[in-house]
Amino acid sequence: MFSFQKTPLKGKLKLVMMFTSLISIILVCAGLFVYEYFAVRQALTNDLMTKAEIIGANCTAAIAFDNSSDANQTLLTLTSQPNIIAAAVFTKQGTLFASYVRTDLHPSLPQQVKADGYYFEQGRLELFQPIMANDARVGTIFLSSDLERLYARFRSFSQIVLLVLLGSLAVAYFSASALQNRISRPILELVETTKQISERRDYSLRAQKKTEDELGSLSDAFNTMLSQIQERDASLKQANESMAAEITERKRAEVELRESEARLQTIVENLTEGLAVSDLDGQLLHFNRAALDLHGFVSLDECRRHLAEFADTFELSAPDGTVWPVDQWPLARILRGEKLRDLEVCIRRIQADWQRVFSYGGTLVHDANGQPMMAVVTISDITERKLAEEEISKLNAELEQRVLDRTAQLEVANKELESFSYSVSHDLRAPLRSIDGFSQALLEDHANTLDEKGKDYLNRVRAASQRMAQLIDDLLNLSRVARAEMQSERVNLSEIARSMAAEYRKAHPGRQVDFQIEEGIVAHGDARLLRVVIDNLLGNAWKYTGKHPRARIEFGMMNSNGEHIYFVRDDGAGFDMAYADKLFGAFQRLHAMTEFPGTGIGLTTV
Amino acid sequence: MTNRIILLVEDNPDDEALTIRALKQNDIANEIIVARDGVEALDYLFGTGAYAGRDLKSMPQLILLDLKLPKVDGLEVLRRLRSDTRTALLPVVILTSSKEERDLVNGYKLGANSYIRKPVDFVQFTEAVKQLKLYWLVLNERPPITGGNVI
Repeated sequence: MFSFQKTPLKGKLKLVMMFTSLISIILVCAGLFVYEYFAVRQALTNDLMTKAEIIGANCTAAIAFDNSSDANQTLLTLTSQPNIIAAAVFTKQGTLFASYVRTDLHPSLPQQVKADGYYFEQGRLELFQPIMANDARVGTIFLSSDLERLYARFRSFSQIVLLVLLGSLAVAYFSASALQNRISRPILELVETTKQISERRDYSLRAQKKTEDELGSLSDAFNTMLSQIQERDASLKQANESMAAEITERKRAEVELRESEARLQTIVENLTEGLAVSDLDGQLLHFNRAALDLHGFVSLDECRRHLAEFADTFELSAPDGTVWPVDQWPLARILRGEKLRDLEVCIRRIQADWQRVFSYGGTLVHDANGQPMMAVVTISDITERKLAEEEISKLNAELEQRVLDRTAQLEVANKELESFSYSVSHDLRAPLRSIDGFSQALLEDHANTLDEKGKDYLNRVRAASQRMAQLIDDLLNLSRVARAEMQSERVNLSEIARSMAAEYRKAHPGRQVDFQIEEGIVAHGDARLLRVVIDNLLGNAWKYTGKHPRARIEFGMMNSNGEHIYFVRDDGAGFDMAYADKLFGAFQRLHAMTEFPGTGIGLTTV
Repeated sequence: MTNRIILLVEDNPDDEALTIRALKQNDIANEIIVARDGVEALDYLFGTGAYAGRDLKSMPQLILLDLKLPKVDGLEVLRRLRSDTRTALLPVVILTSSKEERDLVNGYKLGANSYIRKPVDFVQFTEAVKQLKLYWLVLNERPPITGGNVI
């Protein structure tokens, strides 16, 4: 069944165009037809009126002479007019005077004269017209004509109209076919594009704009829409991709989390330190392997109890022996919010010979919102360590006592040494003074009773006693240096050396010694002792260059392997390096007394 | 009131003899009183014991004080005489064998005017005594005696 709705756009357009042209042609034809109808009718009427006039004029004489056969004769002329089917002439009074009827049709004549004029009746045109003679009416003529001419005209007209219609329909069809293409093609292309897009989901396709009319705008709008869709599609895709990536990442993180949990579990179980976990009510949830072992449990079920239930099994006490009630136990304290570290606890199994020292630590564990979740306790067995510590502290105490004893002994020894050197300083010199003094007295008071030998002996006694005094002094110096407490400070060695040199020069103004003292030599040490050192070294140099008329003594510093080496160099007697190791021993001398005086103590002091 | 006494506090008779010899050699004519221990020295200075009733107006012009003494040692003698107004201003020269640091420090802390270590070499000793005499008996002006009797 035909349905306009389902007709394709092309057909619709064609139909519309053809329908439109058909209607317009029909309307035009209808107009023409109406016009033609009236025109033909008018022509018919005019023709009939002319004929009526002619026949009327021909009949005036007959009427005037009341000769009806003439009139009939006249009327018979109408035979040549096939369309006249009846004619009649009426007198002025209205009586039939003459008539004519087409024989083949047997038409009836009117019984009465009607008013002048024409009438279309029953497929005929009837005309009543006055017959005038000398401007006076003498009768009435009646003519009846068939409408065959009109019908013929209509027939031919209808044929033409039909031909025109068919022709124009054909033209309309072809022109519609041609024209509709221009309208429908862009639409169809648009449709094709949308079809492709919907099939291929390719939003990069675009409709081609071919016209600047509404279809063009439609293409533009469509393309704009496509662009937007493409953009949305792209951003959607991107969002999808990132979401997919996120999901992948999350899955990976999940896997990692699971792995890390497993790892953590393994670590917890293999910790050498015991680990116990309880909920916030003190219900123990977990003991790791080490915790089980430490407490002497075999299975986890033994320890999944409430803290208070352990009071039957264990007794906990402080290192000082105070036994703690359960609410003083480490876990109880942790549950109250305390953080424990290295809490020493003596733990004893009740009714068993089992006692250890544990170090407890632990804290509450909080969730991400800071709400406490559970308590974690760490336990390590420090029994051995405690024993070792006790041993060590005992040893330490002994050691300390020993050190104290030794220190005291040392102090006593030091004291003794001090008092020894003190009395040496006082008492050892006194006899020497007597020996020297009385020898001198002898030399002075009894010079005349002494021969040269005796004087020589006395002089030797004096010299010996003086050297002895010098020895004592040097020894005292040595012991003082050995006892002295060192105080480290910045010491300018160059300055000390210079002041020493000045002293020596002053003491022996006759000697020619060239001192080369490097400037700015600074060391850290005990100023007093460093002075003693430099005094000894420079003094030696001074002494052992004594036989040179012009001597040269240098004091300086050099660097060797990052060490500072301070040196005193002289061009004096020098010594045999074979004995260098003896140089710094007490009373060691490498030169004969007669060559250079001295006791052999100086470098020992250094 | 030119009381030119030298009080020599010395327990060692050798040292006493040598010191007196050195003093004599330097032409010192002053009277020399010898105290052989700390107690004797204090007795002399304060007129007690063996010196009870001594005229305390005459005080030594110079005290030569050894440190190592029997009974009461030199530093104690010094401390006591410095804490007594009668003897507080007397010139005291410590003349001793030691030059131990603590002796030096304590000697000066307690108010010794000088500290001389007896040299072993008698020639040097004589020279030192000479310098002592020159300084303390000739050059140095004595402080006014502030003992109870004399200002």
